[in-house]
Amino acid sequence: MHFTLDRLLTGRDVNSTAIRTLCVYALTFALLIFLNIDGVLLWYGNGEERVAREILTSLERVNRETGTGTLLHRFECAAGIFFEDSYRDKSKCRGNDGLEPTRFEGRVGNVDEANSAFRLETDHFENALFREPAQPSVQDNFSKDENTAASTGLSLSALEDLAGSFLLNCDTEALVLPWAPLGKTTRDGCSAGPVVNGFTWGSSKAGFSSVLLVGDSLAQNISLPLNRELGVHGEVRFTHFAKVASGLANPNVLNWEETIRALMKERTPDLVIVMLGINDANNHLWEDGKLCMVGTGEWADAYENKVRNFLRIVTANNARVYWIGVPIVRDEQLRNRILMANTAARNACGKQPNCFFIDTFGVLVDESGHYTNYLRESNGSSLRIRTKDGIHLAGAGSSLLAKHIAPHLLLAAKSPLRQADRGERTGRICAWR
Amino acid sequence: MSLISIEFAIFLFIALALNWALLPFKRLYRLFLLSACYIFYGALSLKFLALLINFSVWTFLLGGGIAVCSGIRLRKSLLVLHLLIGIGGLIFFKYYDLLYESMGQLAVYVGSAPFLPEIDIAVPVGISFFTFQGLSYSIDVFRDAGHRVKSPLDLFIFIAFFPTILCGPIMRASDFVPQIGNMRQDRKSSGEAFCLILSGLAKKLVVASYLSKHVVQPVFEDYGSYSSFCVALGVLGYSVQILCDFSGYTDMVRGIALLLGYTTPVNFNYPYSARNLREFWSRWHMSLSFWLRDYLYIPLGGNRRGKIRAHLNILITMLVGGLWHGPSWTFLLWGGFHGIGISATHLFRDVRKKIRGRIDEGSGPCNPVMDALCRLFTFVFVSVGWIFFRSGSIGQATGLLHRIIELDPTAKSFPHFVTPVTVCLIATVLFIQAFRVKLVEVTGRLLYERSLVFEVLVLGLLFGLLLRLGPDGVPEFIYYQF
Repeated sequence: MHFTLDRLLTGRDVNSTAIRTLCVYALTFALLIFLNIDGVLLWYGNGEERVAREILTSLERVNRETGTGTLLHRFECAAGIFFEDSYRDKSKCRGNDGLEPTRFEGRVGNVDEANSAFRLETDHFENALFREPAQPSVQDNFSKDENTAASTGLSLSALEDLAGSFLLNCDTEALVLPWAPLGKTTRDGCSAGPVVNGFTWGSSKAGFSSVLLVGDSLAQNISLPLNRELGVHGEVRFTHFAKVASGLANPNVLNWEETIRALMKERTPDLVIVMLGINDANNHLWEDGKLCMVGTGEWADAYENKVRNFLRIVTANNARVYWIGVPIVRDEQLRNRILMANTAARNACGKQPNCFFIDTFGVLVDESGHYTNYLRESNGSSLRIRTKDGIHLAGAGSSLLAKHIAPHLLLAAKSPLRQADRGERTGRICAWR
Repeated sequence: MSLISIEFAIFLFIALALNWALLPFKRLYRLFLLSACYIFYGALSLKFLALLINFSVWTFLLGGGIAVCSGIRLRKSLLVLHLLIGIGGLIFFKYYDLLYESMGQLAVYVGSAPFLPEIDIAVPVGISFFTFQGLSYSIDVFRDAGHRVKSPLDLFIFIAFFPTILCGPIMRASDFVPQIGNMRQDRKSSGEAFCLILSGLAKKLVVASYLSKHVVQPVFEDYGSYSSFCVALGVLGYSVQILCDFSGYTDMVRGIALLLGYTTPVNFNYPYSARNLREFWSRWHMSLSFWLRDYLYIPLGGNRRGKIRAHLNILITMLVGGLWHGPSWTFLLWGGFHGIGISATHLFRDVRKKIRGRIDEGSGPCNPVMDALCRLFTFVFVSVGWIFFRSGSIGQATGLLHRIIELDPTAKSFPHFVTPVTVCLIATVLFIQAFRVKLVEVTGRLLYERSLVFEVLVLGLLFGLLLRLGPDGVPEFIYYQF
């Protein structure tokens, strides 16, 4: 094969054209890496290939020293005024509030590689896998029958009237939810005390006026139905910020600590709902320079720390935060990792004042408590609640989850109905419609 | 592996290098190309890869049988067997849920137990595309044994060709297979390839992703909160989004294939400049449109069995075309909507022919005002159809339509998406469509006539800027779901 530089540059024959094309491709790719070196470094993370790391670091230094990085950063920030916050991470363009941002030290690892390299520590999390989720402040649904009538002191017809509502034990603030929709078998968990004279509207607690929902694609799934649920019970300013594929473990997609810091400052919510974890359950974590493989005890501890850091930022602004656990998924391995993430989040929440964990793992399940794509309605027809990927929520699934979450929040949300005290409390049961 | 990812860029570089280095070695080259295709697809799922290989084997064996057998009955049986395997697989993987839900509703209505069991099925990515590709091969062989591909490697590469396997375009074996080992490579095609990739990225990252997040999603999720004008703008935004998303993907695929030396079919030819629906379908998703015409509409009889039968064939073809996109009644409605529209176009043409006594094929009305009105009407019709295509349910679609028709200026939510940027993006794309501005060709010519350094600098800068304007993370393409 004989060619000259001239033939290479002009591409006069097939061989030189092919080589020229390869050169253009390679050089363009190299230039692209140089211009987007920050993104490439995040993608590479703490990779172990020394030569590659040195090349990337040198490119980053040249990018910084030539001012190319600054120019592109300014271009990006200028263009950012046209984008929503969740479209591109604009935290890099905001001024520093004096709080040091957490530097990302991790690498997004391949979970399948991780599976071959470690053994899931099932011993440590056996209880987490099989234990009933604890709901310290919420009673479960009660069945609509004489037992319930007897235990609440309400007649069956009164129970009928309450269909679609929920009850609150005003003394303990324990919510007594109505019977479950779709004919699901319910457990009799009502521990409400007797009612003396029927029921009446209760007085309000310190309520909330501004609610912010943040999270990943699952948060996006429930944002509209949750907004509707809260809206039905009175005026609540509801905003949301969701970024698909994001999580605390992967700032390559979105730096959540920076983002929540900015959101708290801009939107000043007094109630924050967080739904993260599904993507974290697929990512390794770096903690103090050590790689924690997802599914291990070290990972759980590192993730708990990440959640705590996140919660500190939220609660520093005197907001109450509700962390929504990730619901059950189809894939068994992912399911186990999600349980781990949920447990870590629950633990972190428990150590933080003004933080409450809402477990949803057992909500979208069939009668035997297993994952299901469909729920059977009382008339026998099937209602699709999950999408094909076995993770996300179909329309009906989102609505159901929102209906499960909303009562927890309504206790906190300020509502004209709550404020309008329609009568004095005549019993230990108060009802909201 | 997404087309817009560092992993794919590295994979493509290695593939390009080996593509040309191994070209002189016939068998080794084919083994390499097939391996690259299988590595790309296998990275998604090994189970899907097994399914793909299984289908390829059946296609090769049955296609060969159709070609060599002499009896017409046996040849027909083999063709029917292949159609059953292909369509049966497609129905099982893609449409079982729809069947299960529909049968379930029916069972409730008649008061019986569900007719079908609930099965959790993962849909192999690209199954709609590679199945149609394989079926087109066996039908072509049945029609003319000369279309038979004797080399299994060539046929397997045709079915699994990695640039096109996920989202098309749907290729024909007679067009693609002769190119294997005889690819086209010159400065012009190389320049065109890079420009196509650039064009695809620009359409996807700058236009489609932006409109999806800022305009379409807010409107379609909560149309009741916006005024009729804003909802209409949202629908217009979706018309532009789906065009840029899909044609952007096709541009990237064509560019990548061209870098490898392969020419793939054009899939979009300024569809929103069409004067009627017939013309629209000769410009939109052309590979699917022509597939349906050649392998469904014509075998059904086309327009050769009377007018009523012709209209029925059009409706059936478009219903199948709608359902091909996914297991949802909204897709079926969308297909039916277009079927009725195309039938109406034919009726109108026949009436005009009777009145005028002649027909000018393809020229349409000469009056520029009428011409513009025809194009506008066609575009509005197509945009209304997109409401069904995008909506998650029939209720949502009718709700959106109703909201637009209400002409209600009041709104509960502030339409923050009505900005100069939104309007400019939509207007620019529609302008390019209406006047058929050939941006890619012009840019390609500018690049390939220049030096290597100039080409690298321009491409690198443009790609770099585009990545800064797109969303964080890896953006999804609409047609991945089909």
